[in-house]
Amino acid sequence: MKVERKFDGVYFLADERAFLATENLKPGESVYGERIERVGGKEYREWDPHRSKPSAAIQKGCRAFPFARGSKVLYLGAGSGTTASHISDIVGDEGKVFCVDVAYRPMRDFLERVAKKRENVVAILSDARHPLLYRWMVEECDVAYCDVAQQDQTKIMLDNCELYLKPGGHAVIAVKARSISSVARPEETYREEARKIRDAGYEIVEQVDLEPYAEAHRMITSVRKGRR
Amino acid sequence: MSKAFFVETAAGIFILDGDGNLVKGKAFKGAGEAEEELASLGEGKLGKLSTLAIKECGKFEYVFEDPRLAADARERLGVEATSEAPSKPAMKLRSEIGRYVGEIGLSKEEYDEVRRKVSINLASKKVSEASSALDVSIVQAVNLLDETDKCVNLLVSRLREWYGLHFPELWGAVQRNDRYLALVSRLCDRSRFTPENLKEAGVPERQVGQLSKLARESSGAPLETSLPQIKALADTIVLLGKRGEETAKFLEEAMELEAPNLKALVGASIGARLVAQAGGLLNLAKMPSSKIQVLGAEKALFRSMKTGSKPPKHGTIFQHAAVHGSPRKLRGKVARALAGKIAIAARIDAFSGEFQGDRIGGEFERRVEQLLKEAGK
Repeated sequence: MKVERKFDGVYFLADERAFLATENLKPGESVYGERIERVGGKEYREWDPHRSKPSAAIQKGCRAFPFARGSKVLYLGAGSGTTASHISDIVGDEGKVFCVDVAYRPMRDFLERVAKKRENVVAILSDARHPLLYRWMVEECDVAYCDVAQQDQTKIMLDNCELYLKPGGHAVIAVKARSISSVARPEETYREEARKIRDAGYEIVEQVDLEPYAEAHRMITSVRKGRR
Repeated sequence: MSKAFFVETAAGIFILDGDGNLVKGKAFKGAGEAEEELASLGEGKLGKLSTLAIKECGKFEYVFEDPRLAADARERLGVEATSEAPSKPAMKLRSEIGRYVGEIGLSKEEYDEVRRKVSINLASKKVSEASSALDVSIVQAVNLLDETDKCVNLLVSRLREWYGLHFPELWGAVQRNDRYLALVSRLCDRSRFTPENLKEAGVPERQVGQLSKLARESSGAPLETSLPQIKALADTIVLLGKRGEETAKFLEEAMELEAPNLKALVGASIGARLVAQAGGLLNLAKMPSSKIQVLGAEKALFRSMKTGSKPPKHGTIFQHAAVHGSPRKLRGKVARALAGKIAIAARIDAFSGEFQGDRIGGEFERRVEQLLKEAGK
């Protein structure tokens, strides 16, 4: 099997077919039933673009991918931890992933499958609309990633970034057009959300449509301007 | 008076000056103390250690990030307190957390370990509290009830197919699933469809002769080897049906405890279904009545928003007798009135619990009468 490095901790593996994978932080353990491959003494977990938006963004050829070894990441809308587990792989032992989700049911799975097994993950069962309520769990972060299916998802991300994202840090949002308006054309929704992000003092560095992996979704990656 | 900034971490409480220098640091003695204090702070109340830290520091103008804590400090501790979020010293602490926890005697690794433990415990506790709420079980039960019905129907059609090989005439003669099931489970072999056995099985007098005749003259195959299997299937379905009745009884009781007003207005089954569709009683209580009116009609609602077709008049509440029993032209108005009353009932159930179901139900009935009268003119 061929292994080609794509980003920190992210690889294209190829045999009959090529697929994305992250280097497993906890060798021997599959988190949610994903395929595991051992190549040359290293272990990789398949990262399915249909189940995970950052993976979809890479498949679609994104060039800005701020998650790196050692990153501190604030993850809003971690759900049951499918994507969060891959981010945890990428940031490694020196990094941290602060995972926020308000729904208790997926959090139950998240705790068992991810939080209890991975030392670089902090589980926060809280509403991301009120970022102050978890201030004692979070540090200043290098990256904020927001994937919450809420109408005010951009505001939720920006409010969190104001408290926890360092100047020069990356804010990444998976805009779910259908959650914002079921009527407007996705293009209009994306433009509107991008404007909100710019107006808040961020520079947009990349926008990637996630079709066909996620319908009516776009990944917007931006950088928080300013200095401390 | 100079300012002192109050900053919380998973390892302890920090009081900092305007430049972020440490004025006072108080470490939690263990995960247990941390969880208790942070839970209290999360609710906007200063806990024991926070109070102690402030008392030991003395006269400052305290700056909190959470305005509720500032109010609590003013009221209960009588200190000057304001709020600012994010505060510069807090930002500084969050960016150099390793250095700060060092000042209360922890390495960054130790802090990470403590924070991880506390975060898991706090989240687990919240999960367990959320799971113990009765409305969560109501949602499960109402979904189970639907699934039980579906299963019974599916299995009965399989039973009719299979038993039909042995006694095809019974298929058309007994339409009702429960009666058909009872006969197959009780008698099974068609040679046992004698007038006496049929009477004992509770078959109405006028059908006894017909069924026994059909059985005698049946064109079905004997099927000796398979009959025990068929009977076992029928028994299982009967049991499943009984389980469904038990579930319905549980729903009645649970709704009586959790949402008596809602139950009085629309009955346990519709009430429970609304709770399930809203994702819990609290969510239902927070919904505007216009949304309650079309719960369960999402497909039609979104189609109407997209294409401009007519919006739905009712969703789940169509099942209420006053809605589906009204003349077609009035259903929209009745549905709107009912949704309004449901919103009120759910809010009382979620926030006060006092029983006013009779009053709300009475108001709704009068409104329906009024609508009928107006339409009659």
